[in-house]
Amino acid sequence: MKRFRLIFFSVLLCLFMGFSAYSYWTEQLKMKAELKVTYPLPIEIEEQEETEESKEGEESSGEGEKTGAESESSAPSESDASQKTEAGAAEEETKEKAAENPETKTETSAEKAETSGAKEEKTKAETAEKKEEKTRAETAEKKEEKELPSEAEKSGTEEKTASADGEQ
Amino acid sequence: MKMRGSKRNMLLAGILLLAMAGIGHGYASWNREQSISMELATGKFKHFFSQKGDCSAEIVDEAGNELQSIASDWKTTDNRTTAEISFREGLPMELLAEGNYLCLSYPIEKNGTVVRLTEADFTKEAEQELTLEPKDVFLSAEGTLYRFDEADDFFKKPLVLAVYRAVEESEDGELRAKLYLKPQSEGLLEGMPEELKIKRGKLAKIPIIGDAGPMEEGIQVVYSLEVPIRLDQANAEKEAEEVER
Repeated sequence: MKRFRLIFFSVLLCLFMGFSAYSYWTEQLKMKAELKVTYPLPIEIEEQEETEESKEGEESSGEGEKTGAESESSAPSESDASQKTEAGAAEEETKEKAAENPETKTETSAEKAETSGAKEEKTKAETAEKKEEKTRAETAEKKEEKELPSEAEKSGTEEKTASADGEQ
Repeated sequence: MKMRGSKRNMLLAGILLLAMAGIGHGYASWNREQSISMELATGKFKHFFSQKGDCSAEIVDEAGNELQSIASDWKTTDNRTTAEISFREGLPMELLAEGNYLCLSYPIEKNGTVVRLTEADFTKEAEQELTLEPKDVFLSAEGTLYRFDEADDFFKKPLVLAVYRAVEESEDGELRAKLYLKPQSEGLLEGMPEELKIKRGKLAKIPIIGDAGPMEEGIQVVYSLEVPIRLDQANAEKEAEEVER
């Protein structure tokens, strides 16, 4: 019995020594990482829902306009729509006029736009010319004003010299 | 007579005493105690990650040729026994699915006896297999990164990685621990949806994580990984040969 105990404890001791020696002669290091794996996938963003929402928004804004509330912060799409409606109304008017007077020339919206553009250019040129003329006139007047006191000064000095000569 | 004998004895005793003292003094003056102290200790084996040198993360083929470098940030924790890597960009699954490896390389600071060098042998079975569960799924669209929990089941599958380890020494004597990770399952991209259609309104409701950065449009799956690297001492014979040299 004693011999059995001795053998058992010696084996246990050997195992313990073996493990401790192995752990002493090895070093365990760790590497931690957060792997970010990317899967290439074409993504299509559907705009349907947004268009519906925008339509709803437009409708609500149209109602607002109808009520007479003029807001400056209206969306650009709304202003475009209103411009379009105006252009359409103008076209209709021209068509009606053409129908009434077939001999008269009918102007389309494009032609109108061209003519309006030309008119704008003309008016711009005219205003620019007017401004230039005004500035020129103003500068000329200023020059004259400047010259006038200098002449008066000159005449004053001449009078002084004449009086001095008289005294002498 | 008695007095004469006692005087003689006294004289002899005094001479003897003087002689003994002289001998003792001479011995003491010509003798010095010297000691030799010696300490015996076992070898030290305490290596850790180095803070010098370059750490790298790259995708390599079986021959070890670099195919793509992955931008990453590295730091050490736990007394420099743990290296934490955070990738700045995603790992392209296309490249990994072609049978290539993700190689993580970190320099090791020598502190003790010689480390046994090992090479990764890709012809053999992997030393370890890791099964990683997806942690987060992100969607990259229009340069923005979204948290995409409603992703297809394909992207929520666990990723099985084969792990190969290597400890290599460069010509400069720099020791590097290398970790090779390869997706184990074949046909990784099989069953992946060809396209993802998402409505604008739905996209607007998904929480935004931030800027997608260099990531292209697609799905990004994040897995958390922790791999041990074991450094062993080189065998005694080899060490003895080195000592002889």
